Amino acid sequence: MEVSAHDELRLVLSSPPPDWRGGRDKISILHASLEGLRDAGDPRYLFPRTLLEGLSSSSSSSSSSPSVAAIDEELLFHCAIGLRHTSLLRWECLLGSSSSSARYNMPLEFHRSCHRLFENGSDDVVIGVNCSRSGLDAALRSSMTALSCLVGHVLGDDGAFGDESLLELGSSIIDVTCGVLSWEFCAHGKWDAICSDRGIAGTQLRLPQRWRETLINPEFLGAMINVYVAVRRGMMTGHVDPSSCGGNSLLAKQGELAHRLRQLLLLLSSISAGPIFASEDERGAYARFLLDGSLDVLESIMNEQRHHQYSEEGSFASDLRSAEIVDFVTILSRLTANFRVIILSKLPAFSRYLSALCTLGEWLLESSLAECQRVEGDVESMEGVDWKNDALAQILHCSDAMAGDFWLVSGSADGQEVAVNASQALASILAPLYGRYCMCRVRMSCLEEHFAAREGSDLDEIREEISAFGMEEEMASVASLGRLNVLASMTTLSEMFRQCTPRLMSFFEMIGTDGDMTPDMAALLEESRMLMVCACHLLTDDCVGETPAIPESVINACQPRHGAASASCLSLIASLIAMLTSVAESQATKVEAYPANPCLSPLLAKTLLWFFRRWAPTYILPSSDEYRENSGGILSAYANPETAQPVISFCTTLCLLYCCHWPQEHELQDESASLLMALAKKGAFVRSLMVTSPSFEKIAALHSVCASLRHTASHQEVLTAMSGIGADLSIDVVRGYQRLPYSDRARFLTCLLIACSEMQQEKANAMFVGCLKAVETPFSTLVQALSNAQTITEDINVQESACLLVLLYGGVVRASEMSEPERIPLFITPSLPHLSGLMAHYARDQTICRGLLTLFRDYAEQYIAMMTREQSIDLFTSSASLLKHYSEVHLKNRVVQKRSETIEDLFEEEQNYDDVLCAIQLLIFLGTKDFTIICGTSTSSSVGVETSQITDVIFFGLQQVLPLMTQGMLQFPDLCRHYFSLVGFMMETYPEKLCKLPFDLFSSLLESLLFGMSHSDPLVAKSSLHGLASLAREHLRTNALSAHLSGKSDIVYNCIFRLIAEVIFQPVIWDRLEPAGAALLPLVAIDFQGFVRLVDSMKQQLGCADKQRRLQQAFETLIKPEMLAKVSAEGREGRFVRYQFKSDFNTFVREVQSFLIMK
Amino acid sequence: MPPSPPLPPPSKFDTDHQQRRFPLSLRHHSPPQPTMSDTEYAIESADAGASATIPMEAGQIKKGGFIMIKGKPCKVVSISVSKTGKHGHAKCNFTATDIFTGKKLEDMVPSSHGTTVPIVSRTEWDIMDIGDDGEVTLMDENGNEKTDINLPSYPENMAQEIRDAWDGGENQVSCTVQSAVGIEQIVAFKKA
Repeated sequence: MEVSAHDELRLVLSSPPPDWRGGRDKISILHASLEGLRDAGDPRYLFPRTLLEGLSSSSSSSSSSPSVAAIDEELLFHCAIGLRHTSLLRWECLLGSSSSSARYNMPLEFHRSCHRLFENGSDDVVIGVNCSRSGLDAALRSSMTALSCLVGHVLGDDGAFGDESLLELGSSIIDVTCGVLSWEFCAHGKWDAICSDRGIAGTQLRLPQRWRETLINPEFLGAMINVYVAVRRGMMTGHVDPSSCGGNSLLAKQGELAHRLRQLLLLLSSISAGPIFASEDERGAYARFLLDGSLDVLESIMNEQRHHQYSEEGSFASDLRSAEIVDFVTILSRLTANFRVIILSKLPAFSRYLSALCTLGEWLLESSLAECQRVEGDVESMEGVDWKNDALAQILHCSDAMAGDFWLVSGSADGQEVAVNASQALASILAPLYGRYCMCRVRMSCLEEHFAAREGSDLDEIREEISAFGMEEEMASVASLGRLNVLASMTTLSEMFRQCTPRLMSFFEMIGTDGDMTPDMAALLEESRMLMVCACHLLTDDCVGETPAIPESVINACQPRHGAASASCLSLIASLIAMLTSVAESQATKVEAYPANPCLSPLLAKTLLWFFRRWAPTYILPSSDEYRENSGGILSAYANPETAQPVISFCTTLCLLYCCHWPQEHELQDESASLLMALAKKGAFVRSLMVTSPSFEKIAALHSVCASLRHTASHQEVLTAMSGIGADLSIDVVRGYQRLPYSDRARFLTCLLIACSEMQQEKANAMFVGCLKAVETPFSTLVQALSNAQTITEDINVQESACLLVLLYGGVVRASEMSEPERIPLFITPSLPHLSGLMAHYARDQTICRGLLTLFRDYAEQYIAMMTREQSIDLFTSSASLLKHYSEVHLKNRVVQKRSETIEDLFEEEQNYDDVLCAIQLLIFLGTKDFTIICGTSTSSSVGVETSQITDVIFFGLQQVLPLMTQGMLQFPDLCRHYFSLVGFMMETYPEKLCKLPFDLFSSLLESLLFGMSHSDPLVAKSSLHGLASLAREHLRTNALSAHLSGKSDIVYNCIFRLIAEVIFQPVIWDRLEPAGAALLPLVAIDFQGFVRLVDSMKQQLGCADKQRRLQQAFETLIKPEMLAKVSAEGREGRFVRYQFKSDFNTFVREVQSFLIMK
Repeated sequence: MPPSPPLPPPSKFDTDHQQRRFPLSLRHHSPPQPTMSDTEYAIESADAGASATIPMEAGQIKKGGFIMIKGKPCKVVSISVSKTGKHGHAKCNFTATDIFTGKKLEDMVPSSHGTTVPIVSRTEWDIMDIGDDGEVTLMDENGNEKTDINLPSYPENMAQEIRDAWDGGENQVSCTVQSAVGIEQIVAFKKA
């Protein structure tokens, strides 16, 4: 007679495990048995079967008696828990990465096989579409049966909410269902490569067709929503007293069940495509069910919220609601991402959906503002701010996804009615959220700033940077929301500006010599700043590294074909720009008059510059090539010199005023230089307009006067310099520019050179030459003085001058984006020997030393391609001299100190070594093929530089750097990557030279290669492995390592051992498979005996005879004697051997990784 | 040490500066002609006798440079910027170490405000004698003698290390004397 799973499980659970030595009481035995059963993996599917049978029987008997017998209930509870553990933990753990196989002390092939068996039901049978013999199918069936029972209990029995066991059972059942739904199909096929982390966070699930009947079922979806509604109703009306004994526990279990249900719904919203859907209509119907259900729940939450709006944050009801809102908004966001506007817009609930997003968003913003007002701007004390931000972020994701939807954009452009209607719905229903967002966020920022000013609290730049980054992301999403209806958004913003600007202007008017920043003033400044940020994001995109372009929606909104609306939009934009211009002008004028007044805000100035940096290059003189399909409207607003010139003049004047009157505000100067640079890069037309601007001329004159003026220059020196130029400059303005940090002056010089680089313009040409001459003249004076009177090098003023000039030369070099950049090498080349000579005097000065290295690096990087032979040779000789002087001071005897492990400190530490990084980068550029070839070309008048000379210099540099490259230093990512890039290149190109390095250096090099081969950065690893391979091949060819091997014979053995242990047998192998194989083969060919010893020792460690045999066999198949004999062969034979080995090595790694337990 | 590969001769500042080809002459203007002789050199030298410090704006001080904090000459280890509220003016927060005692000091100065920078100089001397109480006799390459300096008390072991180097062998021991704001101290030594 067949024993039922029910009885079988009960028998197992009531019998102690074989080696059980614990207590004999029932509970201890039960737990021990349960644990044993879980750990054994339950090969007979006892858990699912029992669960299925148990619940089926209880369900069938539910008509007569709804409650399950107590003993069955306990058993079912354990079943659910056990099943969850078995199907989720036991199997799921295999998917993360093969490192988990070590955790469970089982080899990968076991897990792979288990996964396949659980998924397919049989190792050798490919499961059919409707065949459901797998463990996974059984688990789904069981969980579905159990779910239907749960639905019956929940919907049919109000008492169920007071039963903790049932609640826990329900949670476990849903958990199992979630586990089954989020199963990663066919993952075993991918296990040989690194598997991505899985989880239920994915936005798309592709389930098999055979689950269609079960999941794509309106009854099922409806039931899940209904259960959720019932559960939350039970919680809200259950009158459980949290303070009573057990009340907390019951509420927690109810909350847990609700949470699991939401997770299930979230997973169901991730099922969006694949064979599980028979048609697009079915997809639409599925989305409709979920959307309707989610909106119903959200509506009821919002209704409750209206009635209980004073419920205390942190209370149970409030916590539940916050979690619900976040989860359901996430469901909506997922539906939006998966089903796209094309499906959602056809659903009857589309308008309701948009309306819900808008209402909910507004409520979140308003409640956050109310909370901020309650705490008077102390954001640290705000309650519920995190979840509200999360929910708002999801709403913005929805709007972002819909606004950028390709179908909508292209469809509405083509005039398709559905797409046009959808666009209109978005513009009329969802877009109003933008106005509310701006209003609330601006108000909150005001309150926050008011609080900060009141408290006098200090903000550091790192914290500011983090908060600005967060705000930037949010603002980018909000901008897409605002662009759904540009006219409405511009109207809102203009109205807010109109209210704010008069107050701001009267505030500026009141500013005099003295005064302190009051909290109200700070709030007003913040209000205007936030409005500028909103406007800038609405009108412009970041366009980093791209040609700036006007957003499509702004162009469309201003198209003349839209009649009055477009004219109104255009006028709103123009008036907004006019308002900002007047604000900027007022503030700059006051800064000019009272630069030390604390009421004037550098941040507001920076924001204005930032606005114009993004706006001006985008809207001024737009190229007709980029907007072929459109014309007129906003495209013609600033499209001619008459309209563009004032804006350009205004921008340059703004930069001039700020750099002369607020030179100490470094961030502001960054932004000023960026604005000038953005304009200068816009093209020849803008450059010509810049050059004609009087302010620009003034900046150029200031540069010419101050290029010889260090910070410590005396009044008399300033006057002398001014008289030499003869421009109309006041002493205050010159003094201001002179106070700029040298690095900022260098940045302005770069901008000047790019802007004046149009050779056809006589004026530009003269300015260009003047700017360069201003640098060259003091430099030649300095050089001459130093060459004649060495003792003055110690003088602090001479040192300061040297520092200034080095940084200015750096500024010249970085102007490579100018028109006809070949002029820069012409200018720099004669000065190169002198610049490198400065290193001999000032290598100890950190700024000069780094300035020189950066200068040479940038010059080599940007101009090698355009240099003549003579220029290249000059660069080479000067670089060689520079590196020699540098290494004498900085590399020899440099002590590497690694003090901390935190990321921030590591970053700080890495900055301490950026001179080394620069030196390495310079060596890399000097090693480029173009450079070597052009330097090596001989002419009739002179011989070139031999390749060996260049490599000698690079090797010299490498030798100096090598002792520094300890494992501590190689922790710094940039340094590490560049070092290995250099080493890898040199190893592959000149292995013979590296083999001849002195033993201690060779040993350091080898050690760094061995360290690098298991590095997490694949580029570092590949460079190291290629380097090792090159060394080994060189030895096979020329016996180059014999000198080192005679001193230390186990070098190769250690390399093989570490290569196998740290790379080949590790999960990290998959991204470096090919270079690892390329390194192993020649190493084994060098020391075959050592390799055999190594394999033997590895076999001993395995213990199991079968594994020993398999390992031996795998190595024998991989390493064939005839192959070793031909490793270093050239031509077809050698290539064929290496090609074959590559394939064999792949097979070998798959085989070995399968049965070895990786640690 | 490994033999250095052949390198081009180290560059030195040209003495025939006037004859050098300057790039701008290639196109649009004549080459710059230094108008000042050595004695007329325009860069004003700081006279160490006149002042031990020079004024400088806080925003102009660089990492790795020097600053006076609480009357002590210090080397700047790090500079961070902060401000009061978002709209305040920038303030520089300096973290620095006393160049003579290694003690860590911090200071916060608005970036537009002036502060003082010590004039720090380093000179090389040979050690001629070390007295029982640590008084050191030094001589420079011109034969000038210096007797007003003692073995350093910081870093902790340096005095003993110098004495060991001096006592232990017949080799010449040279040292670097760092001076600032009227204080002089041996900060490094090496066996010749």
